[in-house]
Amino acid sequence: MPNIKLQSSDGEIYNVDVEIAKCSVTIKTMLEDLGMDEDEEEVVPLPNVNSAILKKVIQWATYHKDDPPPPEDDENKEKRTDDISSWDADFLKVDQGTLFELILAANYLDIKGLLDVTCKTVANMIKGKTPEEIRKTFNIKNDFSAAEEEQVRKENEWCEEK
Amino acid sequence: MNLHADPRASHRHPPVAIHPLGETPLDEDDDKLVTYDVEAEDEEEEFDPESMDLLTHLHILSLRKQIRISCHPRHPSNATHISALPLEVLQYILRWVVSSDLDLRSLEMCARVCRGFYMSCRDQELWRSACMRVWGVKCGGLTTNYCSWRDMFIRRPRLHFGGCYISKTTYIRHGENSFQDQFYRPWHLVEYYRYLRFFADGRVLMLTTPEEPVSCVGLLRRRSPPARKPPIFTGYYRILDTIVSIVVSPNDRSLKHSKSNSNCSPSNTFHLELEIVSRKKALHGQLVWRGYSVFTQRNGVEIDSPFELIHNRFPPFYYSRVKSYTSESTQPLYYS
Repeated sequence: MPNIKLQSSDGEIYNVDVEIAKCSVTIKTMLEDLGMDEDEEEVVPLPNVNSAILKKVIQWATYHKDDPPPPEDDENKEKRTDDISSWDADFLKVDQGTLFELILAANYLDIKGLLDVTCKTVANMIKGKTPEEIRKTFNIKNDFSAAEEEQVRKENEWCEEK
Repeated sequence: MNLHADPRASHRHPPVAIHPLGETPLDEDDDKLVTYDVEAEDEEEEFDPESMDLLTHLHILSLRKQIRISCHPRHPSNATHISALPLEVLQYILRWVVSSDLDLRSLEMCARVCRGFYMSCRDQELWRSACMRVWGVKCGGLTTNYCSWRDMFIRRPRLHFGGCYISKTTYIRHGENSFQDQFYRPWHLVEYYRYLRFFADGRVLMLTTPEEPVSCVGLLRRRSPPARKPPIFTGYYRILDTIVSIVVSPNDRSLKHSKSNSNCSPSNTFHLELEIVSRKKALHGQLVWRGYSVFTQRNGVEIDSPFELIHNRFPPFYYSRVKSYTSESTQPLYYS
C-alpha cells in the first residue's frame, strides 16, 4: 500500500497509508486535484493541526478505516444507528481542550465521522444541565446584563417547569 | 459534510438593517465612531425590552463593536476554549443537543448561558427544522398566527417527547356481599395507571399497569421496550390540529408468546383519540380522551368495539418530564 507524508503545524512528519489519509475529504481532494497520489515523496502540510492532535486523528482514522461510508442521501440518514462505540468512548477520554482541538481538526480535515462523534460528546455534556452548570462545565462567563438575563428567562419560561 | 461549504452558514445571521429608534447611524459622526471601538465596552447601551427584542439588540451590539459576539472564558486558561470553535461548528453541536428527539428544552437552557450562545440558539433554521420534524408536510409556512418558527414550535399544539403522559384511574367498586355475613359489604378501591410515551419519529408506547410511575417510566425509555407481562403496547400516532390519533397493539414478541399459549388468539389493535389541551403554564401538557375502541380481527373480519368513556374511568393524561429520556443524543437534528 502506498503511503503519504503528513506534516503537522509544528513540523512533525507522519507516514500514513493513503487509504487511511483519504478519510479526510480535504486530503482526498488535495491529492486528486494536485495529482499527488503518484509521488510518494511529496509531503502534505497541514498548518492547522499540531502533532499531538494529528497523531490522535491518524489513530482514529486507522481504527475506522474499514467502516462503511456514510450514506449520501438524506433518506438513509435517519436509519443509521451510531451509538458511540466503546472504542470511541475510550478514545475520547481526553481533556476538554483536546476535545475542542479534535473538533477543529475534524472540521478542517473534513472527517465527518470524527466530527460527529466529537460534537455528540460535547452535546451530551450540555444536555440536561442548567445554564449555570453549562457555564461551569465549559468555563464560560455570563456576559448578560441584568435586564438581558431577565428577558431570556421570560422568553424561556415555557419550558421552565421541572 | 463539509461545514465550511454549507451555503446556509452564510446567511444564518442576517445583517440587521434597522437602526434603533432615535439613534444616530454609525457613520455619521467621525468623532463618535472612535468611541464605538472594540474598547467601548463600558458605554454599551442598556437593553430596553420596550424598544426592541433581545436578538436585535445583540445584533446591533455586535455590529457596533465590529466583532462577532461569542462566548468568553470565565477564568483564564491555556486549554482550547469552546469559543475557539467556528460558528457553524457550534451550530452543529446545537443540532446534536436538540437531536432527532427534539430536546428543545436543553437548547433553551443553552440560550441562557451567555450572549453568544443565545444568538446561536435563536437560529431560525434550527427551529424551522424542529417544526418540520414535528408537523412534516403539514407544517406549512409562517402565517400571521406565528411570528417565528420558535413561536410556532412553542405555541402550536404538539406532543412532548422528553417524558411521558400519565393518567391515573381511581374508583371505588362495590363488591359482593358475603353470603354468610350479611353485614360484610366490601368496597374495592381500584387504582391503576396508563402511560403513553411518544417519539418524534411517530412511534408510541402504551402501558397499563397498577405500578407507580417511579418503577415504570424507565421501561418506556427506548423505542423497543423490554418484554414483560402485561406487555407494553407499541404503535404509531399522528396529529391533526389538536387531535392525536393512536393505533397500538401488543408488540410482536409477546404476541407470539400468547399465540403459543392459546390457539384462538385474535389480533387486537387499540385505537385512541386524544385532544391536546394546555393547562395554565404547562403548554400542551394534557391529553383528554375523545375516543377509544378495540378492533378485533378474527377470520379476516374486523370488529370495532368502542369503549364508553365514563368520566372517572378515563381521566386525562398529564405530561411529566423524565430526565433520563433526554440525557443522550443518538442522532443530530438534520437540516430539512
